[in-house]
Amino acid sequence: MKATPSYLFFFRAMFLLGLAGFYGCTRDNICLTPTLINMRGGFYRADTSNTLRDSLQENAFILFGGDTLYIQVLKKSANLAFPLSQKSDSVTFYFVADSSNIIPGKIDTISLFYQRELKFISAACGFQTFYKINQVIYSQQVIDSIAIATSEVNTDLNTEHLKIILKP
Amino acid sequence: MMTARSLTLFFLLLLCGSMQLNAQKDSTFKKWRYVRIGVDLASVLGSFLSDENNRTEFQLDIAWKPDINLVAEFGFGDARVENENLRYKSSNQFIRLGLDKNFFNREFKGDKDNAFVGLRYGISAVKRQSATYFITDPIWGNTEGILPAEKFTAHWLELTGGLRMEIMKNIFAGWNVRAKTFLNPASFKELPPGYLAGFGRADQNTAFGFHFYLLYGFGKR
Repeated sequence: MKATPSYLFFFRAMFLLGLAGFYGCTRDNICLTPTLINMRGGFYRADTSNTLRDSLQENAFILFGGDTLYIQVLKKSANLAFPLSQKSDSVTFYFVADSSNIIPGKIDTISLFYQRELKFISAACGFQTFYKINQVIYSQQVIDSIAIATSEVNTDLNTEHLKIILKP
Repeated sequence: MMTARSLTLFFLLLLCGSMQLNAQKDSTFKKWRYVRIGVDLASVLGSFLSDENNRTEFQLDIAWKPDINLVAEFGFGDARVENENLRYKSSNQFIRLGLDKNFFNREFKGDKDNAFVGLRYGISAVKRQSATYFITDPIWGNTEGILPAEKFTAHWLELTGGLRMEIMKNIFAGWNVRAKTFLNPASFKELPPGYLAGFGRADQNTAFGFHFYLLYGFGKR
């Protein structure tokens, strides 16, 4: 043992630096990741040349949920988004094209059938569910057709899963 | 932000640099004659401060070349995850094998103070008990489920760097920092242990660690 003073100083300084880094790098066990994943859809209308264009909804809403029903108001929006159920392999939601004139002829029922897959996020957040949409069944009051644009519903926020094409 | 890849490159450059620094021949060195064994006090302190895990780590090293020590580290631990989303326990034993490469030449016969970089391969036998998970969903209703217990083996690589010095005759203290990455993350991606003794937080593929060893050395220098 014959450490020089400069080596001792270096060692102590580096020890304190290491200790500070250790505490600085210790991550808190807090969950900041959303555990629910949204299924996203877009509304479209075909123009005269049969090209699909975004269809802004002026006064529409969708209705979905389990024991409690939720309303998502669509004002000047061509998109919808809500999480699918993690308890069953299908959900049904309702599209009301005009909230000022709610008549059966203006309400469509849409049912999505899918597979579920449990995905681990972290020890703090636990699990979330990914989905694979297999089938869409819908009424055709104001809806012309619905296409599955992307069947995989996961953490990719830039993906549209349903293309809802409205009647002209 | 420093990524695991840039850290790896940094440590490899240090390793190469250190080889240049102490390339001189040391005729006073005795191979396989000096052994150190000790305990990681950072693990003991970390276990004391944490209510989520307990871990104990030991280190054994032996002088192979003037500038290289062969190292074996071993230990055990257990962890508990208990929050509103997950509840499960796990335990593991591990061993890490590798080497430390010193930066500097010995200043005198028997000099053991040095800074070093090193490489480790770690392997651990892990037991995870059955886990209960909850997913809160205000729209469709909450979900709850149970995942069955599982046993698996974890493999990982570590790059380390630090300092070690003799604070009293044959008593050494030293710290090192480590960057670790799993080699087989897919084998426990369904639900990894909350904390893996020897590795750290196991819910990410990469972990960083800090160790403070107190060692006793014996043998001929």
